[in-house]
Amino acid sequence: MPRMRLRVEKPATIIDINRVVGLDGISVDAGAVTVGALVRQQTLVTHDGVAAVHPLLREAGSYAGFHTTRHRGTVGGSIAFAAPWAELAATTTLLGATITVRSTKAQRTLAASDFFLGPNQTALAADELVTEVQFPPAPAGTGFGFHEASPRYRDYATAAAAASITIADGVCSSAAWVLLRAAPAPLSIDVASTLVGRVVDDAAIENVVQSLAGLDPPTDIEASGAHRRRLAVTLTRRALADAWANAQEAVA
Amino acid sequence: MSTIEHQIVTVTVNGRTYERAVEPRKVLSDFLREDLELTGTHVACEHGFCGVCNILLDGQTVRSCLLFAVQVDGASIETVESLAAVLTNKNQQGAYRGFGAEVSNWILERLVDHAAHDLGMDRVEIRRKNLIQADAFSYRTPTGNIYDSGNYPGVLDKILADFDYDYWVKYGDDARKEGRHVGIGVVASQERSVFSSTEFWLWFDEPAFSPTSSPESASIQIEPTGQIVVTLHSHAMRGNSPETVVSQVIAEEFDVDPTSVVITYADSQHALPGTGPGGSRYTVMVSGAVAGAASQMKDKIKRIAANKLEAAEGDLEFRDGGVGVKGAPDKQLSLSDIAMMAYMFKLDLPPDMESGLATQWTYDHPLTTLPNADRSDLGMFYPFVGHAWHMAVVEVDPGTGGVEFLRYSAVHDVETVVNPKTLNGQIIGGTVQGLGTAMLEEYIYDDQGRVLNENFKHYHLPSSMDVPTMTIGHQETPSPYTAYGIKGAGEGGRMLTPAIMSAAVEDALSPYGVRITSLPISAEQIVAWAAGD
Ligand SMILES: Cc1cc2nc3c(=O)[nH]c(=O)nc-3n(C[C@H](O)[C@H](O)[C@H](O)COP(=O)(O)OP(=O)(O)OC[C@H]3O[C@@H](n4cnc5c(N)ncnc54)[C@H](O)[C@@H]3O)c2cc1C
Ligand code: FES
Repeated sequence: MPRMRLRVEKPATIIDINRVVGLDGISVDAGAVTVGALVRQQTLVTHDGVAAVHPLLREAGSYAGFHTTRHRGTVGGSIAFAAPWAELAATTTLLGATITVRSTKAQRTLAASDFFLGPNQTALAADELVTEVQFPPAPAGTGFGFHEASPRYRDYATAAAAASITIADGVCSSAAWVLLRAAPAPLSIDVASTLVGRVVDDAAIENVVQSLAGLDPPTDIEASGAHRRRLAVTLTRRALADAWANAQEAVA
Repeated sequence: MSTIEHQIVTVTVNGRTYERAVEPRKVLSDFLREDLELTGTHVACEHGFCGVCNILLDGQTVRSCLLFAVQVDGASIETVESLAAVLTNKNQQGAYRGFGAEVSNWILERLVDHAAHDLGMDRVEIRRKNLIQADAFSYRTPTGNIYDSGNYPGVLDKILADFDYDYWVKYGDDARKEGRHVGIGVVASQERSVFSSTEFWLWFDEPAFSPTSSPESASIQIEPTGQIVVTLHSHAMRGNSPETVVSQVIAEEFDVDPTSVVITYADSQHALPGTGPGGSRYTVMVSGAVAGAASQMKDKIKRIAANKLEAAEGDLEFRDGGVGVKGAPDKQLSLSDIAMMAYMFKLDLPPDMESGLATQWTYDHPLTTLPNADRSDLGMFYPFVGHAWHMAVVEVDPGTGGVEFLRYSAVHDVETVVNPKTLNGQIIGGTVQGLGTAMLEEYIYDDQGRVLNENFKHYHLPSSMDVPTMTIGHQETPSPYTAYGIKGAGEGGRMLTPAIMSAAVEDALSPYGVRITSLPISAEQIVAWAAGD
């Protein structure tokens, strides 16, 4: 809608999927969360069952616009639109979600990490519809961190970092890390190889952020690539520290 | 182009049901405005950011610019028309709010801060030392204008007490030891008000036209029912609140309920001389005009009442919506008793008096003089000068460039406070606009000179979530020259915030040796400074 409003897009055909039955369910089953494409972003953010499993969806989701836009904006729309600042693109990638899409002929399921290809670019074919997103259960002892920088309160993200850490036996047993606006699509960087088996203290985090020296984020009128690289460093530090602290609480 | 078939849409808006044939691509905001003629729902950014198109759709707040009308078939909508408020975004374009003064004050205050730094003086003390003292008024500036009155040390003492300067200095020092970046900004500003038209010919070496008048007018009529109707001759247009101010002045003069006063505007055929809002002049000037018309009106009312009540005019007072004899509660006439006589009973009036109850007054600028020929003396052209201090504490996040307010305090001396709410509204609004100037607002051009951020998605104005909660104090030093001692107060906030933000952020970033020499102070710039660039 905003792009049509700004006369950037003039599609020949518009299909209103709001009344398609069966696309607006949320289910939480044995820790697995399934969200229909038509679920409003505000419904997702305020859903206590979802937040109990994946608090990150509430935390990061509440950065997506304002409640006035989230009341109408859908989870499927955000994912299909794949805006470079889309918090839901970052969180689906971080949480290892899968996205189910279908056309009149077939249905397929894609990993979020394969779905987002660039700004407003996805693996969706022209005749495919996103129908639902599945988030796998979070392992016990998992904590999340999400930090975002924007020019004004709840403005589009200049940059954001999301992280999750799972603790077993007092050390990191698995970890994931995604940066938003550091690359054309949500950037998932291997962090497990650095952190697994370790206590995630300041030194470990510094080790991780050192890998960002060669990062080359996009420059646009909102920010330079150099600024986004600095933000990536700061936000990653904070996201990892939060994830570790939250994981420690989860195992306590 | 193919024609698209219209669809029938039935919606209930503010309790009323409408059925319209509508083109399927028509956006709901346009449908509301054009098809239903409900123009209270506005559009500005047209892509879901600004919120001026917000409506309630089946009880939920949504952006009407992001929905098609056909999507809401059968829905129930509430628009802003369902509220008892009126909103417009039809602003005029032009130089605004203290233009010129916000820049010069920024430079002046930056110089003072740097001088304090170089002299090893406290930022408050250097300013206190240089304040014009209360016995120096009216104070003539080297270029000929005057500052009519003031008590600047009084304003400073008031803000120091309200803000608790010593507490925050210690707080900032302690925070710094913990590695936090807390900074204090202190600024003082003159708030000149009520230009005379000589200001405009001073802009040119050889003005083509050199007027010296800048009056304001008001007419008062009291109808046979006793209803007071005031007609103003310049239109309110810049967010000032003449209806409120004028109702209050009338209420004071006639001892009536301010909400009972009717205010109307003359059209261009019937208007008396007026200059209009601008340069913080309208409240001062319109109050003077109303005071003049009210004084004539009161004289006539007193003569009628004195004649009828067989009392001396000097023994009469305006009380309880009428006029009565001092010390004699039963000797009282209402305004409608008087007005009925004035309109209907000529033979009850004093013999030399004409019928009717209408007066008008044109109030000229009360204190203006000519410049001299070589302009070494500019004359008095902006003489009613208020005084303000703001103090702010911010905490800067050097990792993201975020700036958070810990405290914001303002004390203004604009002399007689006519209405504390409208005055505070002016101060807050000015402060927020200044905050935009200081931190966000900027045109970005490409190398061809094209503006890249010509919409509100990229031209950033502060939102309500980005502005500080501020405490506002007032000191009142009435002007000896204006009606009721009022001075103008429309622009002060904006003259102070750019300087205060520069000072506070600079102080917070003092570990990095930062000196702020341009605006806006972007988050990107802050992060770069902290990174040593
Ligand atoms: C002021 C404002 C601020 C915003 N801020 C943020 C923000 O900070 N972060 C953020 O992430 N988002 C933000 N958004 C984006 C917004 O909230 C929506 O998520 C996004 O535009 C999708 O909206 P929608 O569901 O209405 O989809 P639409 O706008 O209807 O569709 C968007 C695109 O996706 C396609 N599409 C929609 N649903 C499907 C589907 N099920 N299958 C296949 N294709 C589909 C459409 O064809 C279209 O191309 C903001 C929006 C506004 C207006
Ligand atoms: S016009 Fe709808 S949000 Fe700005």
